[in-house]
Amino acid sequence: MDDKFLIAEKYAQALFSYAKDNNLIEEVMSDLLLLKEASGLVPDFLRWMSVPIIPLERKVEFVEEIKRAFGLSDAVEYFLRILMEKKRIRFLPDIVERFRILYNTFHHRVDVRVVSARALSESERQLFLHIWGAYLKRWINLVEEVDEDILGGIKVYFRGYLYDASLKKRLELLKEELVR
Amino acid sequence: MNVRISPEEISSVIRSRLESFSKSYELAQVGQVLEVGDGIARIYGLEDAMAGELVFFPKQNMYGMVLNLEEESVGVCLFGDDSEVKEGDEVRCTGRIAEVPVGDALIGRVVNPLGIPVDGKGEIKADRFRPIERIAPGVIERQPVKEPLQTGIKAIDAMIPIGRGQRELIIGDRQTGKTAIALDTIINQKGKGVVCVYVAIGQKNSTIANIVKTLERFGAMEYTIVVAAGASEPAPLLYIAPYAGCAMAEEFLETGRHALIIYDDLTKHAQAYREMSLLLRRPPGREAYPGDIFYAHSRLLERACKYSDAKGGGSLTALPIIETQAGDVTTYIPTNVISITDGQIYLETNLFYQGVRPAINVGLSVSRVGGNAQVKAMKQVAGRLRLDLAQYREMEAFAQFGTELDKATIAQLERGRRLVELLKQPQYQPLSMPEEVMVLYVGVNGYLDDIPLDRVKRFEEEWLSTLRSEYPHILEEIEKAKEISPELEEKIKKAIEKFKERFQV
Ligand SMILES: Nc1ncnc2c1ncn2[C@@H]1O[C@H](COP(=O)(O)OP(=O)(O)OP(=O)(O)O)[C@@H](O)[C@H]1O
Ligand SMILES: [Mg+2]
Repeated sequence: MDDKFLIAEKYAQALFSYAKDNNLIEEVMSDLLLLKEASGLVPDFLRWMSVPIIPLERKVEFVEEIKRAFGLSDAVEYFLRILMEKKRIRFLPDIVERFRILYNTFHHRVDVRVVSARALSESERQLFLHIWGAYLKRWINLVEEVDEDILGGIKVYFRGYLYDASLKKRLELLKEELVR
Repeated sequence: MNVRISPEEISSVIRSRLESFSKSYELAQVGQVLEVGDGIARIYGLEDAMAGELVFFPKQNMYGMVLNLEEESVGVCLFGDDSEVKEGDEVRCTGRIAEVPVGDALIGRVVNPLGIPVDGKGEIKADRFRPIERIAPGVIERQPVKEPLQTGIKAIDAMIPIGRGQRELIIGDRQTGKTAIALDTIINQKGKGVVCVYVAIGQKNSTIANIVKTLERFGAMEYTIVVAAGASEPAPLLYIAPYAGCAMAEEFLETGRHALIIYDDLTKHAQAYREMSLLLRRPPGREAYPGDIFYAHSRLLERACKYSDAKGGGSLTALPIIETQAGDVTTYIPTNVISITDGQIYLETNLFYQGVRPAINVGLSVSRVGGNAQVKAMKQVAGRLRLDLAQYREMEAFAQFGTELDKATIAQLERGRRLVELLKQPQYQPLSMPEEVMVLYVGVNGYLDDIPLDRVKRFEEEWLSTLRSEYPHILEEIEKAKEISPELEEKIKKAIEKFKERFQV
């Protein structure tokens, strides 16, 4: 657990720099997302691949099957084999996540999650993308979420920060101010 | 206070506050819980978090404190039930260091280390907060201790005097009367303008409840705050308890008043810190304690101080308590704390069972700075007392070899035995300084030499009640002049002689 992030970061960086040098970034990204989705759908998938009593050859065969089924690139297939040999396969979801962040940065993209009390209208969405895109100087991967609890306004999660301009927060701040 | 405030006035005040209110959003760093257990959570993100910063778990409405800063994550201790926190939960930085409510509103209350009342007496309306950690006052802000902190315990006030602003360790095995000394000292502060803070760390809740009851019984809660972190609380709460209590006491120090704080005890505090550190995977050192345990205790005890007159002249006296195993003071935590205090009161199981209570080993106990603060009257009797007892201990060792003893030696031994008897003192009966002086006076001036050993206690009791009823002016004069003038000494001698004539052995 301690090194989970460091391990995931190292593998993701290695794979990313390999993909970049070989012009495979897009391919690798989509393969990885596919794998992550598959491991989410079939939770035993990763566990099975990390069980030591199953011989490595069986696992390698299995990876080849996956490769055929999903049409994975050679690079990703080879990467999976390395993870298996090094007994790091269980970190795959974290590696994919780290890879995605590297991928975003490479494309000047950033994940932004916006929470609002009701769904955003198309014009609000465009306005949001415009203002926040300019502020963050990045293209925005927008994830929208509705939470009536915040009463009104918006909450924006980006790069480890929370910009809380919800009505609920405003009332809390007001309460603090009045109590003082 | 008979001023009537109309509702209109209130609304206009609120209105003006609302108009000046401009804050409409908040920007905070957020992270996610990676794993949680044993009161510790590891949080991903929070890159700007500071060590000691408070973090907030909005879903649980719970606070935690940042302890470990690592490359990709931070280690946080939780001030609440960790079973409510789940992987992936949101955590926010607050930009604040942990703080507790302080001020007069806390006096008479029992609170937990976060300042939340646990005595069922309702909300505490504190007007101020203080961070639980702060840098101890520097050298120029301080002055040497100069006023005594009377414990009301003869043996201590005479031979191990404590000054206001001093740090004196109470050390001994379990059940040797450590807590008793602390409680008597609190009880004795009545009417002396010293606010007391008793920090109970890792004790059974029933024990804490008894302590509070005792303090109430003697009217001592009127000027005392109890900070309770019971044995069943999570380790992080035990860990912050002394710092929180110290912050509460500092409020009085800062306002030019006098405060006394008891940490009962720092052994359990160290154990709580060790538990936390191991859970945080910090490298263990000697006896598996984390390497900075010395720093944890020294920065706490350094906060005790006597302020210079320019800083208001307030004082904060600290009495940390340490429990030893089989009297061994050479283990890690005792040696540490001994080295960062201004002396120690050393209690011994042997003495306790011999009936010498308080079970203070006078030979091993010292007070390195309190002598300056001792009043002259006490010095006048204490010098002889110390000398007589030292000689007694030396000769007692000889006498055990069964050698023939000369008359002078026998007399010394008899004197010593009576002094030891005289220094015994039951719990909850602290004496005033003049009373202590008068009791010791009869001992060191030989008035007890012809009194049988088993009558000494009764002699003391009757002498004290005679003093109180027939010679209150003697007590008052010592209290006022703080010394025994030759004229007063004449009066005292006459009084004793008269009393001895009446005393029936
Ligand atoms: N001066 C005294 N005279 C008579 N009894 C005393 C005296 N001091 C303490 N005792 C008794 O000795 C017992 C132990 O005292 P106390 O609880 O203060 O010890 P302690 O060292 O704090 O113990 P623990 O290690 O459990 O915290 C108590 O029952 C107390 O009433
Ligand atoms: Mg005790």
